[in-house]
This record gives sequence, C-alpha cells and structure tokens, in this order.
Amino acid sequence: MTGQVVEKSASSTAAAVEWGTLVAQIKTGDDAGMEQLYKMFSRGIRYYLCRQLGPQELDDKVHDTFLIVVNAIKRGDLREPERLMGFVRTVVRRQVAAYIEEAVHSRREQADLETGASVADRKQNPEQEAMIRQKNELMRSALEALSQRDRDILIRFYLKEQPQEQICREMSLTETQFRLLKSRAKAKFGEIGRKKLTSSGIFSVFMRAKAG
Amino acid sequence: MERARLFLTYMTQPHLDHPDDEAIERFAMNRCEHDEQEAIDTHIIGCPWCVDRLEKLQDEILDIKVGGTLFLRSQAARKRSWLKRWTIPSLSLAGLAALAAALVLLTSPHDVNLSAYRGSEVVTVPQWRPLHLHLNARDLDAGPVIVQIVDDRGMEIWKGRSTVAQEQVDTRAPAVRNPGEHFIRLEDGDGSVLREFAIEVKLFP
Ligand SMILES: [Zn+2]
Repeated sequence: MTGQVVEKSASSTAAAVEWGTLVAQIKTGDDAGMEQLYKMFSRGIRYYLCRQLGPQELDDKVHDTFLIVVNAIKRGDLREPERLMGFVRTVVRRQVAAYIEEAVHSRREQADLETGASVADRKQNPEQEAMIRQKNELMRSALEALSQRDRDILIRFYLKEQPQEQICREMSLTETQFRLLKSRAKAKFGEIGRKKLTSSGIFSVFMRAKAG
Repeated sequence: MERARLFLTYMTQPHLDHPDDEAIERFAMNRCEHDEQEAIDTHIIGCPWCVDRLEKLQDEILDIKVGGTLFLRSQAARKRSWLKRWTIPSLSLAGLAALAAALVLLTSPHDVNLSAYRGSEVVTVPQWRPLHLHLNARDLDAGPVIVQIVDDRGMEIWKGRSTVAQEQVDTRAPAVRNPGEHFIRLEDGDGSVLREFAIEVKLFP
C-alpha cells in the first residue's frame, strides 16, 4: 500500500499532454493527434464501458464512442481544451445511458416475438466452464490455507462488504492494524493462489485467454 | 470517510495525479464518496496505467469473493453433516424452532445492494423472499422515480414508486417467485429507463 502518497510514475498519461495542441490537431483531422487521443483514452473508455455494460460487443462500442468524441471535438463542442478528460467522460456516460436504453428496447422486442433467448449467448463452453470451476476451487483452497484471522478479514471486507469500522470493532483491531493485516492477507492470498494456479497448469491458459 | 477527503485535497489535478491504492480500492468497491468518485472517474478515462491497476485489483477481489463464497459454503456443509450425525430426529422443540426461524426468514425482507450496472455484476437474490432494495442512483436527479422488476424477457413482474435521495433509491419490493435472471429498472415519469441492474434469483443463493 502506498498510503497517502499520490503515484506519479506512469509515463503514457495526461501529464505530458499539451491539451490545446492535441485538440487543435484533432480539429484539423491530423493523424498524430487522433493516434494520441486513441492511445490516451481507448483503455479508459473500454474499461468504463465494460464496467457499466459488460463485455458484449465491446470493441464496437469503444470504436463508436471514440468517433463520437472526435466528431464532437471537430464540431467545436469542447470549448476549453484542458477539460478534455471531463468532456470524454461525459460523452462516455451519455453513451452508456444510450446503450442501456437500446438494450432494454431490443429485449422488449424480443419478448414481443417470444424468442426470449437473451441469456443463452452468455454461456461458456463446457471446457471453459470446467476450467473456471477448477480455478474457483483453487481460490477456495488458497483462502483455506490462510490463518483464520487473515481469512476472516478478507471475507468480511471483500465478500461481505462490511464497513471497516465494524470489522475493527468486532475483531478488536485498530484502523492501522486493520489496514496492515488486510494488505498482508491480500498479498498472501494472491501469492498462494498464483502458486496453486501455476502448479495446476491453468494459470498459463488464463493468461493466454486474457491476452487474446 | 476521513481518508476520502484527504485524498481529494491532494488529488488537485485529476489528469495528473494517480489515485493511491486505497482510493483505487474504494473506487473498485463502489465505496467512494461523490467527489472522490468524480475525480477518479475522470482520471481513469485518460489513464491506461490506472486502468491496469484497477483491472488487476478487480481480478483479485473477484478471486477472494469466489474463494470466500465456496469456503463458507463448504463450512456450512461440514456443519450440516455434523449436525445430521449427532442430532436426534425427534427433537420436536428444536424442529419447531427451526421451522419458526425459517418462517421468519421467509417473511423478513432480504437486503439487496446494487451498485453496478447491467452486465458488470450480477447479484444473487433469494426466491420467495420480500426484497429491500438499495439501488445506486449516482448522477440521477433527486426526486420521484419508478422502480420496475422484469424477467429476462422484459416482462414486468412488479412496479412501484420511490424517490432518488442522496444518490440512492431505497424501496421494498415483493418476493420474486420464479428463479433465473431478472432486471431491476429505474424509470422516469415518461417511462424512459434511467438505469438497469441485473439480479439472479435462486432458491438457495
Ligand atoms: Zn493514473
């Protein structure tokens, strides 16, 4: 844990961006500007859309949203270039609302047609399901391998989502002890989990799946 | 949330300062207060590095949730088999107490906290139990709102009125009788969907 220190190490972020130049480049349709904009925002837009809408057709949604941002900038909707990040976020939020509405409508139409098979396409294939089950079982055994106190802290905080104050009270911990124990328990859990995944052979499969 | 305020005082330039690990964790777990949420929201849109941190953290949290759920389930199963072995079946008082407890459980509302939108997180909800819904209404205007529960084909099961207050909608809803995927929607007076949450209804969640 870094405590109260703000991280300053990332390189490819907004720190080095000259907002006015970037916006001007995009307005003129300059390729370098477009590329920089895409490099900066595509991961964030993807993350945001996925968090709100799930992974379905994510590439298309990211692409559409990016085009909307570019067109809005070209139209001059962004008056203060230094507000670009907030501007992008507003566009993405509007897109999320639009996608939700669209999904609701299409489900209504589906219901009218009595096809109603909307859940089927989310299912995994049997091999993937077996692998996920195996991984889940390993996570259970990793948690079981922790001390009771470490396990209790992780389950209370992350699974039961109990407030920190409640956990401290019920486990007789100070706030500092709690933070330290939680961070150590999480690290231990991660370490044991990784070892178990590696020795089971499914770690590499998951990494490949992620990369793909 | 002393730390949340603290974070905001030093995150003066959301486009330059990366949130620290604890702030990132609050964000991943939807535990940020409004201002902090706004600042981090804006930051991550333009910071691939923090998106990496968030995704890694969310994977870790998911592993803990999954492992924890299975662990608690296995503990409960062990306890049940132990009880079976040692309890006398004809303990009528204990039986009655269990029945009474089951009845109380079935009639008492089950708290459902929904913070993510459709697709990113599905919360499991017990069948046949009245629900007490706590729905995240961040960014929605305060005021009246319609809450609707529909099945996976979009068929309405229940509709009620509530209000958005302090970025949340709290309302009680009747028990859902059928298992499977359902959606809870917030709509405005014109019937436009403002937000949608997914739930999975199960007999034994
Ligand atoms: Zn960052």
